[in-house]
Amino acid sequence: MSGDEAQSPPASPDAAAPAVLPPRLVAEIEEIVTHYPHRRAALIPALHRCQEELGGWLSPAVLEACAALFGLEPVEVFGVASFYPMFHLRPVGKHVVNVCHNIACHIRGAEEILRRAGEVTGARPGETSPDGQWTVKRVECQGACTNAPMIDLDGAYHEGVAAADLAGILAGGTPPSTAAGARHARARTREHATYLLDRIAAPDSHTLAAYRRAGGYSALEKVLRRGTSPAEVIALVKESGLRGRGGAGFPCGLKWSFMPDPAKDPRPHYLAVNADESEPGTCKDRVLMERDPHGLLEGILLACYAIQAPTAYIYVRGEYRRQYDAVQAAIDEARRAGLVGPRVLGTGFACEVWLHKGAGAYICGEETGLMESLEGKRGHPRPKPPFPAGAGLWGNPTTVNNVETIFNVPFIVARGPAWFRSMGTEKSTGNILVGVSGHVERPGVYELPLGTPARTILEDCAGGVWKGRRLGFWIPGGSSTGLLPPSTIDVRMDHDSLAAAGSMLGTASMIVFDDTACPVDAMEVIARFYDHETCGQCTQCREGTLWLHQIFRRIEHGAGRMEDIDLIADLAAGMAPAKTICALSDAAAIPARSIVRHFRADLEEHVRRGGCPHAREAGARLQPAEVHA
Amino acid sequence: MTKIILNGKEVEADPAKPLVAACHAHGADVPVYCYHPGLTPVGSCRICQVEVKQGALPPRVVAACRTSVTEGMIVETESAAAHAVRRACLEFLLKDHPLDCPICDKAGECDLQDFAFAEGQSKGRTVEPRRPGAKRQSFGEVILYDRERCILCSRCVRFFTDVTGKPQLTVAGLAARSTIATWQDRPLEGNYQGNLADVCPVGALTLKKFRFQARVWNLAKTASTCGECSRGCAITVEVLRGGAVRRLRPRYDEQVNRWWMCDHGRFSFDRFDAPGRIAGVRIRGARGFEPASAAAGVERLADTLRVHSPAILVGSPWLTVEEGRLLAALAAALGAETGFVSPPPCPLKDDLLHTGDPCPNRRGLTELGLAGRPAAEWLPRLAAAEAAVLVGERCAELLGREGLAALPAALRLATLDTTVLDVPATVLALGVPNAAERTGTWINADGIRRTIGAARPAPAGTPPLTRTLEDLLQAVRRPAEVLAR
Repeated sequence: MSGDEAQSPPASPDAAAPAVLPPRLVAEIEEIVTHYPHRRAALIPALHRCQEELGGWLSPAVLEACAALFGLEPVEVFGVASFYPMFHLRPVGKHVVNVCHNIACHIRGAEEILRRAGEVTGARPGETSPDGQWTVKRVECQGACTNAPMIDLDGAYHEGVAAADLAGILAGGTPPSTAAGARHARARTREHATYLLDRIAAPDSHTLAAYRRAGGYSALEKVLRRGTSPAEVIALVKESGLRGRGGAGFPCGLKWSFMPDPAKDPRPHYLAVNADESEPGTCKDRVLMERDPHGLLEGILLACYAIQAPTAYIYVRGEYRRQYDAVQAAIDEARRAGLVGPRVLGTGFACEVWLHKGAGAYICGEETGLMESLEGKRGHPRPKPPFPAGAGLWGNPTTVNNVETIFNVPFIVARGPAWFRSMGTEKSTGNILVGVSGHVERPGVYELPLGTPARTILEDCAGGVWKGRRLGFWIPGGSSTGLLPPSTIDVRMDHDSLAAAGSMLGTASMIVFDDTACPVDAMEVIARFYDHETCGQCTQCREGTLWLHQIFRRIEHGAGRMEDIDLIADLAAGMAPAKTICALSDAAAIPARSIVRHFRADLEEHVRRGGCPHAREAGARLQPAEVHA
Repeated sequence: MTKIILNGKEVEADPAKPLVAACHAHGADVPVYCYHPGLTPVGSCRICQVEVKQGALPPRVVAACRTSVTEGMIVETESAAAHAVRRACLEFLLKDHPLDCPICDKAGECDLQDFAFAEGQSKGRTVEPRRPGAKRQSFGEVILYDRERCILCSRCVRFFTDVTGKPQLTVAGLAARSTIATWQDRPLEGNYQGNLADVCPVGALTLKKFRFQARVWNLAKTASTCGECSRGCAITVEVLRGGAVRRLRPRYDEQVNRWWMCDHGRFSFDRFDAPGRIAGVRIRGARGFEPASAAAGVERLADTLRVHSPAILVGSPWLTVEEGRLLAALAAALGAETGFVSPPPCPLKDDLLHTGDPCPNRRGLTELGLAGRPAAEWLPRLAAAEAAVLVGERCAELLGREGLAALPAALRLATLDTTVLDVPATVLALGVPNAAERTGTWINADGIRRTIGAARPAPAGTPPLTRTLEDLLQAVRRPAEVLAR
């Protein structure tokens, strides 16, 4: 509890009485406001600051004060705050324990962690302990999948947590993990050229000095000093064949070329960097942000130069505090060094880079949801067209790129498209960060050329399936790419090969399940995630994700019917493809379809046996009465 | 205008409007929930799917509310592919719907009910227990919210944002757990809350005042004009089985009120069925007011006016142009002073619809040469007259009972009103139809002429006011000797 709140008078019975935000906090918010052309954009960062400073939750009085500060109606601020799971609209305990229960953590003991957390704190998930000390929350993927299971204690990640150690962690006896990069990311496991992770081994890899030492900012210097035109930079990136690393694999240079010429379209241009990494299984961008933020920053500066955007926003998921701080420190350093600001490297190129903190909604990783959220609204994706290049942030031309995509750009500029094309496949060029999580010996983030066979990654990088077991099934690129049978493990990890195999490269985040794992159990967890995270706008997605979750839950827990299996396929067909504003509905439907296609026998066996035939490490399952809970 | 091929016919489409507007304009009954022509489209309910073909591209099924029309676009609203998407969408919408149509006030005019019926959705495939949600949640004095029926189309949220300009509702929460909420469960404010029940495509937002009042299919709906201010919003007057007026609803009028009306007007219908209504004529006799025929009433009034002069004829501000014209003619024939009562300004004036002038036909009456005077100016004139007639409904109400009661008993006061004005001066009361029972023209503050419609018959023996005034005019013009006989 902050001193300010301790000194404030007891809550007024009149909820309409505006809370007086401490002047220092107001000043801080006013500074954040200056980062944006429209005041409202600072709303979510402001709510974060209020929650941090004013007792860990957003009281009605605080929401009203924020509404007044932003010239909004309280109901609008409430609508926004209630959209984001990180905002607490009720009081919480002195300490908040977020336990990830998403798929990668689930199969490595999240439920055990939750049980143990309940024993230690006296708080059941979703509740606050009677002594007011602890709030325990189930949360969806926090982006630490390669170090599962994880908890977030008061904003600090603890990864690779064993249930036995939980009491010690909660007692404050364990420093937070500096997981990104340090524990599992291995730059090199086979004989192939690497570049993405080359710098991160150095302990000071996040500093400007280290980055300069490694030749950093030379690509930017080259472009600015030689007078390379923006169009030429776009041409380089086009020629490189770089495809987006955020999941869709759209050609980056082509996307940039959609941006209008500022000479003909004087509206302000923006770059929005998607650092809302939240596809379950995915935790690669955080490595780059935490360990090599200047690499990202140089990429941003080059991208802004290419699309002639004087302003970039990096939308960082709110949970990534460590990464946020690392990138902020890099921006501050770069600004002092004249690399960010009105005259980059003393040239006429102006570029401001601002960090923007999200608040825990998966859908804000969708590019239009991200833009809505950045504008200070509920993260409801926008129908396309118009596409961001035509009408993005505040209706202006905007390019949205993933962190890793941007991170590739300085390398392409410095070393040339031919070098880039020498790695990967013809249509999927360059290296990619592959996260491997789940039942493997050495989970981690690995840098590999696109087109590397999944088996190579599993066996050579990740040390194979753990405990000497066999592969049960796997997910190639984040939970929305669906469950694949072991027979597919020789597929090459590139866009076209996986598409041909009926899946997608997605974020190249492999989740591996051993042969004791149950695909239906996994599917229940995956379906639960989409049910939790749909923004709720589109009918099919809002109701379909819920319905699928309910059906998988029933089947897994013994109340399935044979006709449910075709119903799943039918519902999935009603949800996708392209039935809704954005692709979240597709992301939920694809894994549902995949399990019916590849694991029909498992579904049928669940129905026949009236429950899950797989041995459970996790112990007791739900009682029948709880199935519909 | 853009030419498109809609279901095989070439039609013109307004390029400023989404494709769904063109479909509706040309009779293609594409279902909509989140789309409302008066609100910013969001394209979220996904029910308005139609199949389009543009150029060489393969046909696509798209949400018509977020699709622009392009020249030569081929649109099939009834294609199998479009219906398949709509059916799937409906199944999702109905999954947790309580199916409480038998007790839902929206039943009969519910888009969910109608489109489900149209798509032949007769069998549910869910075995999941229907999720409970908040029932009968009060959103203030006007509106009740039912989360179970709500399909989260957000029209209500956008109504406040887009139409009144002051947000009062939000979609709160995430996913299927979302709900519609006010800030801190506070009541809604303002004079436009009732529109929420109209914009809500289902039975989630209903009028407290209409709750369990009628099955809508038993309501006879008549196009009319609201009489509560000089905007003269286009409305329908809805009468239950020839009896009470149960509801007034806005009717689209591009020039006047578009889709909306204010609560003041919407809930003004109680006056149509106010107590004390008279059928026919009452003449004061030895034992109080005694019934008489309409003809006898006219004769008696004409006699009075012929004999007692000066007379004064005070019109109601709700008179129609047709009635006002006859009033002016009658006054001229009698050489009597006339005009109408100008009601005091109403504090509900706003920038949206309410003009603050409670007189719906000020412009029409003024154009006829009738002067509007406040009650305070009429009362001394009445006191000085020998005979007076208050012409039209609520005229006496506006002049004020107290002032009228103080008029000298020697004044021969007659009323053409819906009730008997029981003051010493009253000698005669001729019943008239109220605004739900007559037809005529009002001219609103902007000079727009609109018709009021007779939604039900007037009480027996109560002729239209125009007829009464015509008869009176004829009677007073007849030679004196005829009258004297």
